[in-house]
Amino acid sequence: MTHMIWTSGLLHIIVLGGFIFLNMLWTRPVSSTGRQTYYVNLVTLPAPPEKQQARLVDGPYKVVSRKEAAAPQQEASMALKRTPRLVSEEPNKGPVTSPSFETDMSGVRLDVKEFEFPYYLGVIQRKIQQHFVVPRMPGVKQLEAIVYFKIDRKGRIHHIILERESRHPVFDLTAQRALDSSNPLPPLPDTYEEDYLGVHFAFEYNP
Amino acid sequence: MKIFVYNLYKCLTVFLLILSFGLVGVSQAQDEVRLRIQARITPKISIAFKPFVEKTGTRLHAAIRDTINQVLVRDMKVSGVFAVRDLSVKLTDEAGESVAAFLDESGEADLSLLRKLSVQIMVSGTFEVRESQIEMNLKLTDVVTQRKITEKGYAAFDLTLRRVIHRVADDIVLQMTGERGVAQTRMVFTSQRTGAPELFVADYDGYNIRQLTNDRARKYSPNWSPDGTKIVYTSYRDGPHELYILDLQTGETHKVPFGGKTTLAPRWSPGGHHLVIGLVIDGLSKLFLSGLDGADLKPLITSYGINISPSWSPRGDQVAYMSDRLRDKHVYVVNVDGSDDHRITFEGKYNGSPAWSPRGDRIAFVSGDTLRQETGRLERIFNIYTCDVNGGNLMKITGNNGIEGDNVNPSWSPDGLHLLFSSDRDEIGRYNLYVMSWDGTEIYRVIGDSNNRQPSWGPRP
Repeated sequence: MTHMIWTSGLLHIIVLGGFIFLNMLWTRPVSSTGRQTYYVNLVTLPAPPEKQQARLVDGPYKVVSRKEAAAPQQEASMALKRTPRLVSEEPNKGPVTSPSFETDMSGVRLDVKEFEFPYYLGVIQRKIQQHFVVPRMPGVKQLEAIVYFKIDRKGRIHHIILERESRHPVFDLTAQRALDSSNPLPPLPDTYEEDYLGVHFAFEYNP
Repeated sequence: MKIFVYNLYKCLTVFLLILSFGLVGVSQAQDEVRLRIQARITPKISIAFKPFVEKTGTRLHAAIRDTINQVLVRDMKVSGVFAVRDLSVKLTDEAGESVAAFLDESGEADLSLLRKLSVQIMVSGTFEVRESQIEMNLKLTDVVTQRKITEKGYAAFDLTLRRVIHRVADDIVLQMTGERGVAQTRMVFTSQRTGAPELFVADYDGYNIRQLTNDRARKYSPNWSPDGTKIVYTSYRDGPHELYILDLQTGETHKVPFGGKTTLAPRWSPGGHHLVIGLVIDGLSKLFLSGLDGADLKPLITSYGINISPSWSPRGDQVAYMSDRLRDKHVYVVNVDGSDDHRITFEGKYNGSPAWSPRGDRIAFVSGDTLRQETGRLERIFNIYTCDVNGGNLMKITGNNGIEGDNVNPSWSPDGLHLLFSSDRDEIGRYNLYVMSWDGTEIYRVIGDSNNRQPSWGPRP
């Protein structure tokens, strides 16, 4: 009798195990089931332009600290926490050997001593931001990669160099892809006399 | 002992059954995916527009001045790139009271005020009328440093003035984004303003409407060639519903025969050498690829059901289309070699008219939302949605403010920032053409006055 009970039990276990195994096999990928349900939070509508411009900035244009570097691009910082920004760093360590200079624009270090077109830095930041889509990275708190590149007179990007790695290869690759996708950037101002503009650009991840 | 073993066996069996059903539950739960997207708002470039003025010493041409300023401001606003501050309009406070003027008595702009408002660039210019020619001079200035960014000259005649102003607007967009704007583009559409649906063409803002065909045969589904020199469409001109190509340079039309079969919704490939068409065979529409002369006909989708409304991906390697092979109408995507045919819409019972964005990242389509009318009757209202090319990140972009009529036939602008569509939102059953921003936040009526449908946004010149 005992023997029969154990045999019966064993057979039941095999049958049930087979059932579980087949069930797992039959579970199709979600994308092919046709019953996918998306819960979408529609985007917040952009505020009217006039309201976005409401912040008043008093006084003449001045050099500001690195933390304030994003201020002239206030709209951009409002838009997305993970915003690439132009940085004011100490001369960068790494493969870039050309000298760099502070400018009157907040927190920008460029390869030229005189760059009198702060608007240009705002519009290139805007364009790169459009293409900077960072995947969510669980467990990662903060990342920063600095990329150096040159812009020619027609706005084409050259000599992309990862100046400072973020210690997260995917993030570094995302930053470089954002630059690739942004190519070409707006043409340099006609009255800018140099052939190239060198930019040190920081990409941040602050989830 | 036996009883203990028997009870142990029963417990084990029950445990395994619970475990098994639990796993079934998990597998079913995996069919339902909850996604969350984060808003990504690209800020507009804050730009000031100082109205063009006539050069000192020349005669006053107020009409020309007004045309230049009105068209240019509108183009810049519609571009979707700029937040435009017209300096001829005084600064107002929240109550709408005027608090400051941007221009002084001599017409000079108050740049310090613009800097306080974080305006980055100022557009200004002059014009001069010399005999029949209008000469314009555009100047862009960095507001912060007051340095000139660029300065360009343009020449126009009365008849070409609007077109040249559109070019000025596109040049401003290019200077600020690195990509050309769409102000010089045109649209083709069908209109019943002269009776049966004929083909008409107009500038992107609805001006300069011109009739292209006039043979009183009904016409449908016009679509531009990538170089903008030809338009493919279908017509009952010779009896059956067949495909025709109109050459805009010569004005000649020729028929592309497909054995007299009913031909539907032709779409020109991005490379310009192929068409994807619907052919009705045994009462069902099937999709085929074809050369421009009808040769090299290759089946693309021949599965059961109606397969229609194809739209090419910008790289020309995939086609989105609508099919009712599973009874409900849904949007599918297939590779041009016929492989990887898969469905991308899953909500609702009617999803069709897909239009692939030139940027390649989104597909617009029309979805029929079923509503219960006051009479208790079910009625379908059509709205435009967009989604990622895999169907994710679904976004409803018309009808978010209640019922706004039917919104159909979406067609993307070449820069992927706008959608042209037809809607009867202003008068039920009477369709007009509208342009809206990609997210549906800004909508402009561009063609009215008749029944206008099936628009197709043309390429950049």
